[in-house]
Amino acid sequence: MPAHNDNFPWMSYYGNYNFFEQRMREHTKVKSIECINPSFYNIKLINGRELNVFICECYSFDTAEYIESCETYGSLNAVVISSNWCGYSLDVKRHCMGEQVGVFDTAGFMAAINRNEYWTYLTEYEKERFEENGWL
Amino acid sequence: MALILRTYVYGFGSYFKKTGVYQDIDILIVHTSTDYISCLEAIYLKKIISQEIEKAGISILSKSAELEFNFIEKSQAILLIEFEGDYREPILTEILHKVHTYKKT
Repeated sequence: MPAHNDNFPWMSYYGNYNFFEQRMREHTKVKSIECINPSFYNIKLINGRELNVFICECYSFDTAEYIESCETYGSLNAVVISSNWCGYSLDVKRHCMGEQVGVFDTAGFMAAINRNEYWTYLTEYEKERFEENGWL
Repeated sequence: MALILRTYVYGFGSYFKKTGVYQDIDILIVHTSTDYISCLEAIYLKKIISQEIEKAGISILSKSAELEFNFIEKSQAILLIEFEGDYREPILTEILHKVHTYKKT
């Protein structure tokens, strides 16, 4: 399968998320980024909010993976699925939105933190699927 | 109404393709729903299997997520076992038996 690591915390092939860190440092809404461990970041936004962000390359991130992640890192504010090969389910997106937790790919996270209720950000594809399912 | 848990355990990847060469043993657990209890049962089963199969790479999906990803069809996964209710020790024994004898069948 395309994911490099099958097991938690589904670390990237390179053992780091340098691309994500770089994009965060360049983001106008980000005040600072602190790497707590290679998969877990504390990101301070210029609006004063602090986000605990778990990042991974899980091939198919679903609700059980989210619960597993919270067992290790405690409550999260966002999950970022880093690789283009990897993805997350609509179920986990919806489940986490209910807890005010955002689940995104890197581009989605960058777009989401431009808004106050960042966890509500949906891609066009997700909006369509959510509407189809009667979730919006 | 109480949630009836039904779990499916699949094997996929190189180990189950009988190519003779493999790096790890890929397992997929498909569980009933995104309900918290259903997820915890699946996570527990994953931990138990991981302890017994050193090279296991274990993925978990709810039934609906599996349908969304079409994981079983794409990965040509093979059903090893399905069971209803909570995990019980004979279930692990059967999973291990199926995995370890797979190459010989």
